[in-house]
Amino acid sequence: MSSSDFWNEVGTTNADVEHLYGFLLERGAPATSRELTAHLIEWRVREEEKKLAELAARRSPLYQPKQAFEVGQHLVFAALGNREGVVKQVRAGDNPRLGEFKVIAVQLADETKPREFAAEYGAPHPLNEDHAKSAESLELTPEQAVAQHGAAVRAALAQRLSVDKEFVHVGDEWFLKGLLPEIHAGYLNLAEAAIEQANDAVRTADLLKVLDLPDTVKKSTALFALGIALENDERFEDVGPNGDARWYLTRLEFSEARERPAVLEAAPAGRVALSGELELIAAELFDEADLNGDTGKPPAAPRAEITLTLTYPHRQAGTLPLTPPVCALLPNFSQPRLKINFQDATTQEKFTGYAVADGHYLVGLSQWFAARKLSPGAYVMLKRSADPLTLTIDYQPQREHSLWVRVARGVNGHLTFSQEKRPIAHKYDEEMLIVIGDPVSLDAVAQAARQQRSLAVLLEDVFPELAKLSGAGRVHAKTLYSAINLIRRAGPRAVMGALTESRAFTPVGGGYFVLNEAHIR
Amino acid sequence: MAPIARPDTKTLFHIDLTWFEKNGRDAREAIHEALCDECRARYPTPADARVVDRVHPQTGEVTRADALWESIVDHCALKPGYVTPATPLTAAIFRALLANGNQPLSSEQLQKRAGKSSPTAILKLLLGSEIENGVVPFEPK
Repeated sequence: MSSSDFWNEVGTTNADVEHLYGFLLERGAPATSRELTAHLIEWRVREEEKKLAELAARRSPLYQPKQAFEVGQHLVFAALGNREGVVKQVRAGDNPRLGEFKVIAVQLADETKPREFAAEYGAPHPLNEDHAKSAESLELTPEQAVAQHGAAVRAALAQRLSVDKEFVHVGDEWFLKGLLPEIHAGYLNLAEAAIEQANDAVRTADLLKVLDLPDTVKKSTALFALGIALENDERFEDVGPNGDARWYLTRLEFSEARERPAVLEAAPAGRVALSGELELIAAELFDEADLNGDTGKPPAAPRAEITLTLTYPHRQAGTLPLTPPVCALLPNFSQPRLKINFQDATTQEKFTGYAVADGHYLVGLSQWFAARKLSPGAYVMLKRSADPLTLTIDYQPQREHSLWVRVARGVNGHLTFSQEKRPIAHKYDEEMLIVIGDPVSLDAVAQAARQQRSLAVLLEDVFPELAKLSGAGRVHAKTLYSAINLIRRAGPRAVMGALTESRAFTPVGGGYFVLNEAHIR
Repeated sequence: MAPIARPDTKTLFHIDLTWFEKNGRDAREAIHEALCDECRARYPTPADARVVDRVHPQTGEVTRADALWESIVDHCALKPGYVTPATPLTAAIFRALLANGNQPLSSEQLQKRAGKSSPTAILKLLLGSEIENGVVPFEPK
């Protein structure tokens, strides 16, 4: 067997699984896949070296076609998986093209009939090369083997163990089903009460303290068994970061954290190549709708803070986008939800929130938005804090005074805008600020827009309303994005893609567009 | 009856040696023509070639083989002049199968070994109205 075949096999065989079964049985406590892999590799390397040493100890010479052999001689055949055989007969070779050579009949172990091999064969042949090894050596210490092959073996092993009914795992820890102590319903009821009393997510180890399991059970085993029991009970959910399970009660979670608010649902958008200018604008808006359901985005580099511009759907839902740059403020998590705290930068008040992986949003901000009277277009800052599960949230307050701003209303099923004087108490993106004149009439327009019209048609409808407020008849892409989101959830790339593709709009630089009335549908 | 698969560039072909007899031709004569000059000097006629020892190129194991096939597979087919750009396509296909010991090959593999034409053109040629050199679709028994 070649070295690569050997390493491809490690972690996949029944013998490997059986050995690890014995290992966990003896250990009596769960082990991580890394520990199992290291143990398995060490064992396999030792076994293989032992096998090779035994082979070498037999002192049988290597079969090379160029050598001469005698009847009764033992040989090792490297090309046949280092099998051993004994020479039974020697005859003359018969092939005028090959000249003179001999043919030996060899009885290989475990075979009934002898096979014939060339001998005293001087023609070029790979087995005649002197560097051929008598038996392949792994030529690796167990430590080197773990470093070199550990990752591949670990992946193969996790796959193999996950289909074996004897093994169970919680996260990356593996154990034997048969060795799990029973976590009966009474323990789980106690755990439920403990979480409710704490009114926060509780670590498995902290729950274990209140359960009073028998002393005969190892702590690591009890932790593992409790983790499995909690995971299999719908009352509980792990809302902690990777490697730090924290259990909470599903009935205490916000409904918006368990199901994405309808206002955040965006239709999948086609990929349109944007100009460099529009691409830059879209990237700066950090909108999760641009992820287009793509969960495979590479994680962004860790960062300390980010400034987001509020959009109407997030204002309504009390949410913020959870894009890779926002994720970079939080610890990694692979559960559906991560329970976090928001902390107001000014008042230091803390309140609960969730990072929801599936819908790519942070939730729990309805009251915070409302108390600060934030309009779509307001700047909201998120910062890391000393506690990795707490995000500091801030906005840019300013003395409240009346300003001429865009005010949106729905009239006869269409979105309309007017310039009105309204009190504003926060800083905002000039291009995106829109004050909601009448939310009920906007909902009616949104309802109609959802059912009927394409994004391009909506843009053609909205554009003149916005253009009339600017002297030059031009509208910024960000204004259109903010306006469209009053009635239809759409990411900046979707809006800018529709603007780019439609013949009704012409870019005039700086992110601004004008309307070509001739091309309106 | 088993459904008949539509042939494609992955469909396997081999030489049906019985085709030669059925069509009044001598298969061994056709194989002999593929020998290099050196081997043809050793075996001037197909009748001169008999069963010989064949040494496996990887394991060194010896088996008994027809000298014509042994020469082609282990010697003639390894020489540069076995298939050249001037070799007609039908002959190149036949020689590629001989070099493979008549183990079946697809038109994609034949194209690579013949080094000319395209898999689709070879497939069309092999599925044409006339069978050339007994090359037919391989039907596993």
